[in-house]
Amino acid sequence: MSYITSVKLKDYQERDIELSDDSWEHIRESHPEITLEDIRLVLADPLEVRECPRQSFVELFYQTKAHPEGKPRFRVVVVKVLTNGLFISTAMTTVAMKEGRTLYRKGEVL
Amino acid sequence: MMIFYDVDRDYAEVFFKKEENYGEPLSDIVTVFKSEKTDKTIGYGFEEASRRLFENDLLSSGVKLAALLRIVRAKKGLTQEQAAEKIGNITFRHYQRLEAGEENPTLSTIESIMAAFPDTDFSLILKQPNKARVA
Repeated sequence: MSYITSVKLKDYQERDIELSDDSWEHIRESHPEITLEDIRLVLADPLEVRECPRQSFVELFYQTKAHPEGKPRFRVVVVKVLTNGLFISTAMTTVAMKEGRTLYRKGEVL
Repeated sequence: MMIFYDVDRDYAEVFFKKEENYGEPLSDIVTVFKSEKTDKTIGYGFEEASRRLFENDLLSSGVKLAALLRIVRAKKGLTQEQAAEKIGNITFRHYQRLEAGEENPTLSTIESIMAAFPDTDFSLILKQPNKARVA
């Protein structure tokens, strides 16, 4: 098992985003298909970033994930934008992107 | 069982099994997590968890109690050790087992928990849709 205390990652805008020990432990235990490298890559090079429809201080970073049978899959990293910094809440695999205002789309100027 | 709660987002996940999985929206509030191997349900995610987690038939009362303890502890900023101390007549290990849903509490333990957190509505774990939220 690999434990970390807290790591700082960078997103596509070079913003610092913190992954705490608690959040990483949760991701390792409940979403074992997600690696630390996956999280780093989704943040650094997302396909799309959307504002959470229910909570505007939450940003959802999406990247597509290959599935052996071609089923739709996305990796999503959930980031909280708080007054004292940006923090990863969780990360998971999902079948679709949530509705919500698009903050960034790869290759497009919004 | 694994329970995760993010107090800033009031978001909770409850997992019954450690397996590669994917999330599917069950509603705009609830996500169901299914095994990538078997497509069987192995967990749930709840937005507005301090209310919505208790307003459904997806979880047993035992699981709801474990989740309620986790949510209350996070809202009060307590460690498991501090929560056990506050309750008084249970050990740290006993508390850990309650919060993990590994043990059914005795009536006297429930009384001690309720006395330790008097502003929490523990009847939430027995209630059905459209009831109060965790204090």
